[in-house]
Amino acid sequence: MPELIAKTALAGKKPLVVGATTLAEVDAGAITSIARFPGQGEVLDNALKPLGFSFPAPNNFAEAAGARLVWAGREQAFLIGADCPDLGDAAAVTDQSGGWVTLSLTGPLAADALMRYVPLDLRLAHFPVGRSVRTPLYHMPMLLMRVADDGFRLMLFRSMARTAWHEIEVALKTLAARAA
Amino acid sequence: MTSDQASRDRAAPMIEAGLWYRPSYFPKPGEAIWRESCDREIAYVREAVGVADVSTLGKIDIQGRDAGRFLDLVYTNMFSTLPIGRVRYGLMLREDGFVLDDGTTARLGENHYLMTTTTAVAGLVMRHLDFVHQTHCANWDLRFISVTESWAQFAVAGPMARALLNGYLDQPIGDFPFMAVGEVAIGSVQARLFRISFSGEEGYEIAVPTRFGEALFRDLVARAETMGGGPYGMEALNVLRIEKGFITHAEIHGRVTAFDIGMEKMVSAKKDCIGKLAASRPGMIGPDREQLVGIRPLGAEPITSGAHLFIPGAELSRVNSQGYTTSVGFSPMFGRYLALGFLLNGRARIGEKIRLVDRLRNIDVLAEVCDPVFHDKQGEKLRA
Repeated sequence: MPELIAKTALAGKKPLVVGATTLAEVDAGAITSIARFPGQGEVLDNALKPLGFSFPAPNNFAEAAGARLVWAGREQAFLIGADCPDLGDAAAVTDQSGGWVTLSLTGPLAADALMRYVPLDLRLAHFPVGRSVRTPLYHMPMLLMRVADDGFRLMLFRSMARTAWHEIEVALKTLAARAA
Repeated sequence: MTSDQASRDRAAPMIEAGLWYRPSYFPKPGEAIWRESCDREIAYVREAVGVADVSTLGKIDIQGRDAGRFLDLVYTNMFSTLPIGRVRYGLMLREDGFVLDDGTTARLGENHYLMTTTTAVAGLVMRHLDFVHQTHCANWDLRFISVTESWAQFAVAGPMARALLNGYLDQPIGDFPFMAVGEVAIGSVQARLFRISFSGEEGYEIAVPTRFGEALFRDLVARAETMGGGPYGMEALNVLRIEKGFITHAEIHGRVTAFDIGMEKMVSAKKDCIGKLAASRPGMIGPDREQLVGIRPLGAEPITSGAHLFIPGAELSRVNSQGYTTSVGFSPMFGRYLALGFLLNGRARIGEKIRLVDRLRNIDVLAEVCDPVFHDKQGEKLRA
């Protein structure tokens, strides 16, 4: 009986360390899209309660027991790192696990590197921990989360993983060279 | 594509298709030009079994009690009546009545459909669906999301396709008719199997979560090669679909109507749809329009897409152009080039001789106007 070999988008890629800033691929585990149906807000929140979540407000995410529930668009949130409970008819549930590359970018250069490609003010005062946003990284659609004062989680289309990595690497090295 | 590295390992030249790189062909030692590779890969599909990565086609997961109603609104034909476990070909119009896209949509459950779009127009279709949803039916019980990147999908096509899959899947396919969809297993991995064909042969497409894509591609290719087949690229895929008269965006290039491509009967009389009224305006149908035809040269000389069509003997002037070719490929089956194209009042002119002229490349040949389906018009092979 064949058993298919699973690979993440950048399987085998070593983290990139530039000064004190690190770019690395993260295996985010299960990613499930939860798209709330009209009039189902209360039912859905009750169904999400055992996980410690309620449906997130736009541009926000919550964390509970190692999992995240991230606002991802109109009436849409991504449950990351936990199996999705039975939500009945409250939401359209779609597996998104393999479709994204997840990157962590942490360190003093993280926000400045991202701001070279992202048309938003990502300084801590304007984009605090717990905030998520759908925004382009250069030309690539991205779901961006602020997970720590100096840390971001980036989700991009899997097929664009190498391009995204390359662009961030260029930005990090440029910033480091300029500071040196 | 998850098969990207495996394709490059085989020295396949990668060409741009929409936002993707896809393999043009898979050269073998001793092959001097691409046509040799292309012809060999066509033979895989016609005579044994070929494997192609079709993950780049757009996939949109559509759910909700109004999902069928929504598909009826955006497609010209009916999808609310599609039985669960079946796939239907659909045609989509822009608001101005011209063809936007085509593709197959499967019904996975009572309130659950999976739409496929063409590769290059996947983003545009997603945007169109969002627009229709938000402006026409924002309160419907309806949600959809792209799953293009979430599934890796491979065509397994040819007379030995079923044998390949039966030897690979956990359970033999069993009774699985043309245009069926179902769940299958490969070890512990749940996969989706579609019986659809873009080549005219008995064809399947198997989809797995993307993280298993590379492994599945390499496995399928290895099995196909053992059975006398192998991977095929975009060049072979293109010739196969031209022989079968299947259209791509070379044909539905934004200026053609359902009538022009011979699909006006797919515009359902039982319901409204986006673009239906606009498509019935004067000038959108009738003998004054250029219509899809097949074009078969009388000899074996090369022809090109983009060539213009003239009545033999007529002066080669702009106003005398009767139409043009859109897709061309060398067909090993017919031993000559074949073309699809658009010809003024073309469907009424089948059997006529036409002069095909490409002045940029010094091509001037006589050809016969014929039905766009060159191969297996009755569809016996793909239903086998």
